[in-house]
Amino acid sequence: MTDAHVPLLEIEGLKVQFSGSRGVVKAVDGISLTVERGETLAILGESGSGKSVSASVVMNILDMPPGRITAGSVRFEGRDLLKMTPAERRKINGSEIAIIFQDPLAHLNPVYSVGWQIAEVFRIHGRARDAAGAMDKAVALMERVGIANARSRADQYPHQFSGGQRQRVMIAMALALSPKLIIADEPTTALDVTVQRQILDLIKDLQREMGMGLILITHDLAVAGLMADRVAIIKDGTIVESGVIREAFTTPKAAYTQQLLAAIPDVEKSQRGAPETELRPPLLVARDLSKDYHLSHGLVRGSSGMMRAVDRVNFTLREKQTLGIVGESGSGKSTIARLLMRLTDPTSGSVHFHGKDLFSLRGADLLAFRRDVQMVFQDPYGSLNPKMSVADIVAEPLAIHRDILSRERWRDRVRDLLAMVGLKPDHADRYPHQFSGGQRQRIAIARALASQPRVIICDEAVSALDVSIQAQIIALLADLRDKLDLSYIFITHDLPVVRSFADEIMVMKGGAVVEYGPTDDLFLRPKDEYTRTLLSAGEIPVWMQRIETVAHHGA
Amino acid sequence: MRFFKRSLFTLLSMAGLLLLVFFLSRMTGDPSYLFLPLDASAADRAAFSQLHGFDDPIYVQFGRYVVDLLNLDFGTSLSQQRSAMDIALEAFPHTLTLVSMALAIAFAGAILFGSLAARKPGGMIDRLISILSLTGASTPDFWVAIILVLIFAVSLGWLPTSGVGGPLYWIIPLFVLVLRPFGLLGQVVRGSMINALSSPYVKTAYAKGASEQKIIFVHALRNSMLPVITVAGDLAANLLNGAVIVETVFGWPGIGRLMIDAIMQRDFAVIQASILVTACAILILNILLDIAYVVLDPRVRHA
Amino acid sequence: MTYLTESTKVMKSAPQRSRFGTALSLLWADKFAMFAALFLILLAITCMVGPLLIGKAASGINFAGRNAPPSFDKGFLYILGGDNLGRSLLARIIVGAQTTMAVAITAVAASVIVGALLGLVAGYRGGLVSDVIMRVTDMIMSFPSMLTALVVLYVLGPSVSNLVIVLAITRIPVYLRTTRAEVMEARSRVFVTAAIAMGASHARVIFKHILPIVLPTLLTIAAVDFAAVIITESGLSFLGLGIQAPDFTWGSMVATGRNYIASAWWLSFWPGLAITLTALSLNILASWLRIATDPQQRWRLEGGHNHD
Repeated sequence: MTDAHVPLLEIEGLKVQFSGSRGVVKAVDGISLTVERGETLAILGESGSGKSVSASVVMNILDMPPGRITAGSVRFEGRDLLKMTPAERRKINGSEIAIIFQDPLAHLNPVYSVGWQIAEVFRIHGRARDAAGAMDKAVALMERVGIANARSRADQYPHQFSGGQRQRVMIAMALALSPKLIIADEPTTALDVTVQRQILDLIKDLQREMGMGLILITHDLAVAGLMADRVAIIKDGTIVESGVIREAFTTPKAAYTQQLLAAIPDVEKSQRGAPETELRPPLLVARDLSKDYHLSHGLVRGSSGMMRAVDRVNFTLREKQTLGIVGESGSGKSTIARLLMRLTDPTSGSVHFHGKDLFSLRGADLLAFRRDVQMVFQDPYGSLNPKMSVADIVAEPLAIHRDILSRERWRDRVRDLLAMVGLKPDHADRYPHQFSGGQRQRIAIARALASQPRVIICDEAVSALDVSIQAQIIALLADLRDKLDLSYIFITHDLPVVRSFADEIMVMKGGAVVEYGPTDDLFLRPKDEYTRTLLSAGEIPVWMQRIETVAHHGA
Repeated sequence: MRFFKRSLFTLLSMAGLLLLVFFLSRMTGDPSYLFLPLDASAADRAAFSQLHGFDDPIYVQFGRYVVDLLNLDFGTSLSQQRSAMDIALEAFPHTLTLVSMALAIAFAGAILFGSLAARKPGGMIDRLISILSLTGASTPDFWVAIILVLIFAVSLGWLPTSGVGGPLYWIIPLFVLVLRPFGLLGQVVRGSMINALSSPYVKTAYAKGASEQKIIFVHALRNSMLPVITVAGDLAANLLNGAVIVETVFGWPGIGRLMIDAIMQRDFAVIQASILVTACAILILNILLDIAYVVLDPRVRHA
Repeated sequence: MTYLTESTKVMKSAPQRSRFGTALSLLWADKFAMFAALFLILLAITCMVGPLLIGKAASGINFAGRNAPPSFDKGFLYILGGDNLGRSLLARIIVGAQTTMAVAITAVAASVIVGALLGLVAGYRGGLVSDVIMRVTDMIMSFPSMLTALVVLYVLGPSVSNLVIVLAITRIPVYLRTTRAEVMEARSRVFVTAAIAMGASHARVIFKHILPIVLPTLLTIAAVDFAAVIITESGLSFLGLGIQAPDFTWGSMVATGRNYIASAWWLSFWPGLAITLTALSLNILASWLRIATDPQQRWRLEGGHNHD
C-alpha cells in the first residue's frame, strides 16, 4: 500500500449513542471499514445491529437528538465528512454520495409528482439549465431504470406506482448525478420475492456501468452473497467478521457468522417426520373456497367493482401434518387465514373441520372450534396487547374458555407454557415491550397453545423476524408439533423457509392455486412456471450452497 | 365527493336548526307572549295571532313556512318592518370582512410560528411558542376585548372604543378575534409539522442535498397542511363564535350582533334569516377548503 | 437447543415503579405542567372548602365598600377590591369558582359519557348505526356552537340545567368522533383480531382490549374541552343567556364589571384572569398528558435523568 492510495470511503472508529427511555444505547460501537471505487461492500447484520445507523451518519441524516456521534471519522476521498459544514455536506449529498432506502413508498414525498422529485436533484445541485431541462433529464433516467412510458408517468404520483416501480424511481433519483458512492439500505426487503431479484440485477448493472462504489446494507445472506465483493458482519454495534465474502462465508471465524450460516434453510436439515406410506385422517378440508371483495368508489355503490381474493381453492390438512401456503402479496393467502379463523365469511365454498361445516357453526359449537384452532400472527409487536402482562396474555384463552381450567391453576399452566416455548417462568409478570421480536413470537405461541388446540394457523409467523431467530422459531414449532400432535397451516411468502418444515405446499397467485403437492415434489420437480420463478428468486447463490457449516447441530 | 357530502350535511344541519327554531318556539307557548308587550290585551293577542297565522294548526303554519322559503320569502322583521333577509344580508359583509381577515392572519401566524416551533421540538423556541399559543387558546375573548379597550382606548386614548370606521377601528377587534384560532391552529401546525419533518421522505430530501428552508417550506409544509385544513373547517365555525362576542363588545354591525339583538327582541324572522345566511357562508367555506385539500393532496384526487 | 440462547437475554427493564410514582416523575420533568397541576389542585380545594368559609362575604351587601379598589388596608377579603355592591371580590371569585366548575364538570362529564358510548357503538358496530350517528354529529359540528347554544337557550329559556344541556350537546360530537376513530383504529389492531379469533365475547374485547387503549386519549381531550367549556359558558353568561342572577359564574362577573370598566377595572379583571389561568392550566396539563401517554414521545420527558 502506497501513501497515495486513498480509499473512496473510510470509516474509522465510529461510535454513535442514542439516549432513550432505557438510558444510553451504544448503537454503533467503534466501527471501521473502507470501500474502494467500483467495489461492493455488504454490511450484514440483524435488526438493531447498528448497520443502518452508520449509513445515516454518512448521509448526515441521523436524528440528533436522540442520536449522538461520540467518536470516529468518516473520510470520503480523504476529506473528513464529520468536520465539514452542513452546506459542504449538502453539496456532496445527492451528487457524490447517494442512498436508496428500504421502503420507497414512505421515502417518496406523497404530494409531488415522481418526475418533479427526480428533477429536484438536478435543480438542487444546479445541473440543469431550467425546470424543463431538469424534467427531460428525469424522464431519461426513468427510462434507464426500466419504467415504461416514462414521459407520461413522470407526472404521476408515488401512490400510482407499484412497489418495484417505486424502488426503480428511488434508484433513478440516487443515480441522477452519477455519484461515486451509493448506499443501498435494505433495498429489496419490502418487495415481493420475484421483484427483489429484478431490482438487485438493476442495481448491479448500473453499478458496473458507472463504476460506483456500493455499500449494500442487508440482513439477507443470500442477497449479500449474490451482490458483494467484501462483507462486514455487524452485531451489537461492532464488526465481528470482515473480509472477502467467499472467504468469510466458507471459513467463518466468528461464532456469530457460523450461527447465521447455520440458519440458511438447507435441503438436508429436514424437520419433517418420517415419510409415511398411508395417509393420515383429514382434519380440515376446504372445497371450492372463494371470497370476493367489493371495491366501492365513493357514494354510489353501484359503480363498485369486484375483486376475487380467493378463487375456488381446495386443500386438505391432515392430522399432525404441516401445510405450507406460499404466495406473494395479493395472492390471497392471508384471506384464507381469515376465512379459516371465521373472521370473514366466504362468497362460496365450504370448509369442514372434523367433518363439521365451519361456516354454519354457531354459539357453543363455534366457541369449541375457536378452542381447537388457534392462530399466530405475523407481527409480534401488534399481536400482543401492550397493556396486559405476559401472564394475562398467555392465560387469555383460559379466561375465554372457562371450562378448560379453574382459575387458581392458571398461574402454573402459564409457567408450564412459557417453559414449553423456551421462556422463563418469571417472565410472566413482565409486559410485551420488555421482550425482543423473537421472544414476543414465543409468547404468542404460548398463548396459542394454552387451549390445547389441534390446529395452529401461522400467518407469516416468522417473516418479521431476523434470519437466525426465524430458524429458532421454526425449530420450536416443529418440536411442539411432535410433542403435542399439532397440525399447522403455515402461510408465508418465503418458499425456502417452508422447505424443511412443511409436508405439503400450496403455491398461490392472484387468489388461485397454481401448484399443490408434497414438498419434495414441488421443490425438485416444479410443474408450474410461476413456482419455478419463485424458486429461482429465493435461490441461494450456488457457491453458498456448498458451504459446510461448523454449527451443523444448530437450529 | 367529499365536499358534496359536507355541503349536504351543512344544508341538513341548517334545516335541522330552522326546524328546531320553528317548532320549539311555537311549542313553548303562545308566540304572542314572546312578541307582544306583557300588558297587551287579549284582543290584541288574538289579532296578533291571526295576523301572523299563529291560530292555524302547527302543520299548516309549517307548510306555509316551507312554501315561503321556497319562494325565497324569509319573512318580515317585527322590529324593523322590512324583509328579514335584507337585514341579514346587510349585516353579513361586515362579519365576512372581519372574519376572513382574522382567519388569514391566524393562518399565516400559525404556519410561521408552528413551523418555527417544529424545527426543534422541546427546544427553547418551541417551549416559548407552545406557551404563547396555549395562552392564546385559553383566554376568553370577551375579557381580552374589555381589557384592551380599557388600556388602549380608555386609558391611553390611542384607539377608538367601538364602532366602524378607519383602520384604527379594526385593530382591537381583529386582535381579539385572532387570538384563539391562532392558538389552536398553531398547535395543529406544530404537531403536523413535527410529524412531516420526521417522516422518511424528508430524509430522502436531506440525502438529495436539499437546504433546510427548502425541506421545511417545500417538502414538509405541503404535507403538514393536510391535517391543518381538516381542522380549519371546524375552526371557521369557532371564528363565528368569536365574532358574536367581538361584534357585541365593539358595536360591530355584523351578523353575530344582529342575531343577539334579534334574540333579545324576539325577532323571529331575523333569527331564521341570520341562521340561513351563516349556514350558507359555512357551506361555501367548506367547499373552498375541500378544493384546497384536493389541490394539495394528489392521493385524494385519484381515490 | 439453540433457541434457548435467545431467551436468556431478556432486556434489562427499568426498576419497577408504581404507576403513580412514574406519573409524578414525568410531571416533575415538565415544570409548566407541574405548576398547572398544583394550580388545579389548589382550585379544587378552594371550590370544595372556600364557599363554606367565606361564602357570606360574597353575598353581604356593603355600600361603604362599593367599587373599593384592591388594597391590603381593608383586610384580606378586599385584597382584590369590592364589587358594585361592595361585596368582596375575592369571596365572590371563590363562590363563583364553585358554580363555574360545577357547570363545566357536569357538562364535560355528560358529554364524555354520551359521546364515548355512542362513539364506541359507532366504531365497534360500524354499518348503518355508525352512519346515522356520524351524520347527526356532522350536522351539529357544522354550525357554530355558540349560535346553536344561543338559539336553544333563547327558545328553552336560560337556566343552569339548560345551560349544562346545551354545553354538553355542543361538545358531544368531539368525543364521539374521537372515540369512534380510536375504536376503529383499536379494532383493526392485531391483538383485537387475535382475541376475536380466540373466541372472546364482545364485552371482553371492548373492556379488556379496546377501552384501555382509548381511555388516555379521551382523558386528554376532556382536559382541553374542560377549558373550552369554561370559556364558552362564560361567553354565554357574558352575553346574558347563561347563568342568571342571583347565581353567578366568573363569566357573568366579567359581564357585570363591564359597566364599570372605566372607573373600576378590577371588577372584570380578576374573574377574567381566573378563567384564563384555569383554562391555561388545563391546556398545559393536557399537552403534557399527550406526551406522557405517547410511548413515542415519552422520552422527551424521561430523557436525561433515567440512566439506571
